[in-house]
Amino acid sequence: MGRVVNKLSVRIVAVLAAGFGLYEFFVWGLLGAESAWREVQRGAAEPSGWIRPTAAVLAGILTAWAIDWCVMRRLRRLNRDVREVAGGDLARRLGSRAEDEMGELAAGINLLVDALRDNFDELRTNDELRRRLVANVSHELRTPLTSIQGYLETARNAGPVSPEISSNLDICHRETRRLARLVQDLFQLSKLDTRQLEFHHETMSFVELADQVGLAFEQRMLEKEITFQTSLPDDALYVVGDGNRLGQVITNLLGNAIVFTDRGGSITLECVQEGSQVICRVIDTGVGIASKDLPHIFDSFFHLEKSGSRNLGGTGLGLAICKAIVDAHGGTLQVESRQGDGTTFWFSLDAAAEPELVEPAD
Amino acid sequence: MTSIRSILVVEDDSDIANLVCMNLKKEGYEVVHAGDGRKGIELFDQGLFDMVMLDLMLPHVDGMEVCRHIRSSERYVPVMMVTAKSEDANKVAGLEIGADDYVTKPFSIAEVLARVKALGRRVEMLTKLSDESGEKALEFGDIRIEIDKRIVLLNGEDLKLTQKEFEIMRILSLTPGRPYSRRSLCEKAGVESFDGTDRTIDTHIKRLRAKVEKDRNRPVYVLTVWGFGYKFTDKFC
Repeated sequence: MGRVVNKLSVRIVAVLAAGFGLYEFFVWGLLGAESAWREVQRGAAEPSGWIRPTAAVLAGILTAWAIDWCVMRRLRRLNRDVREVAGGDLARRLGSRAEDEMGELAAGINLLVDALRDNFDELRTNDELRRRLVANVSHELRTPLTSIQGYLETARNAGPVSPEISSNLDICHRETRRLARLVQDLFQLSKLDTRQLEFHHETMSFVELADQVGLAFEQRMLEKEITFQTSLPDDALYVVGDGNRLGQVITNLLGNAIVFTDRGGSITLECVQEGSQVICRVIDTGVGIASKDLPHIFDSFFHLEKSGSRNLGGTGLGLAICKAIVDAHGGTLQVESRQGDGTTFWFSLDAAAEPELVEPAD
Repeated sequence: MTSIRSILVVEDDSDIANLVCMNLKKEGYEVVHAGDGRKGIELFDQGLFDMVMLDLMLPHVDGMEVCRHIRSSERYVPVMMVTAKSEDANKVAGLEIGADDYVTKPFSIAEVLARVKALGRRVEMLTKLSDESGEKALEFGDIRIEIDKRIVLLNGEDLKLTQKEFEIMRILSLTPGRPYSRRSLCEKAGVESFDGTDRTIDTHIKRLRAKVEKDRNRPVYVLTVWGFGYKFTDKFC
């Protein structure tokens, strides 16, 4: 009841003040000004009617400014708050405590923000649960997969069996290994998505890393009769990064290059410094990627249609993981390819200064 | 068959334990199985095992604790950690407390058997060196390390390593393939840390590589274990 009386009295005072202001402005301000003007035209030396009209005009201006100051200031604040909420600050409360229309509007918007925040929280929780589930499931699958893979391996090596059983065992073993890789990739991708994958950044020689990874591929290249070249500069090319993860990226790119390059083809692993960037390129003369597939090449579970890479053991997650790892290093992973002409994957990282030597005593 | 003859397998999953034991026995090893950490420690203290395969997550006493116990014994017994945890932090922690190798589930039996053989060759080399009458020298490709004389030769030429460089070379080459953290390498080689970090070792390694390697930016002998430390190549074992 008190609230209603209060609101009513505020309105009555506002209406009376506005009415008085307008009355003063029109009756005394405009009419008075007009009669004073006539006095001036008649040649009166000192027009008598100037003071009241001037005061009335000033009163009108002051009333308008006061109304603007009271109403518009609150509107502007409300507008600013709403924009901050729209910018993602869902914890912000719109501050009008007044029990008028403006206050009710603010309270209404606050309710809307609350509902939005609840929905977002729920979505976030569900997403977190989903990612945790993927991580947990892929972790829990490791032990049974070890048993399946190990016993299949043992069965294959147990002794001579019929060609049919041998072929069936080979399929089971191959598919189990693919499943194991999928589990591993899913686990890692879920960790990358939730930013739970730990990175151990250190200043490291990128050339040493590329050389080590390249050496590990020499045998596979030889087996597939692929000409493999490593083009590394004499300098160490220092970057700040996680050597294991960056090694994983190069391994994955070289692994893909082998899969999609035919016998007799060539693969080059190249590292160069261009300006302030260290660039690593994996260039192959393989089958290439169709232009329609290029925009999706870094998507999870994307398989190239013609290649049937599923049959080649791909999980469809490797490039998504590579991209996430390079992104986490502040770099960019890109691809250039023409069907039939081969593919070049490359990523760039910020070059770092050579670490200062800590002088040892010896 | 290498100098590893008896292996203690500490694994709580009976299927995996059976799988590993069966394959190791096929290769001619004597195998004893412990189903939990407490039993593992008990058996290790009783028997003279040449190697331990250790699961990380075990009932009663976990794998890390068992590994610490094994490392506290006087005799060097290689430890291979086998675990479902693939996070780097676990790997680093395992290697830091003295595990020689780390295998992640799901693993291939062939890979595990190959690694057991590699550890066997390492033990064999150490045994040969500790033999009083034997020659105290190691050879890896063009490199010859004469432990008694404290010199390292590259194609017969003395590389004139400093005391610390020789110590680092000796420690790493005695266990090819075994990663050493910067800290443990500092401790073992008596390298003092001047800046409060373990990075002093990097300077020694850099200078060592400049003498030992053909191209110090592309080392062949003294390799980096990313995010951890260094190891000696095992490609000559």
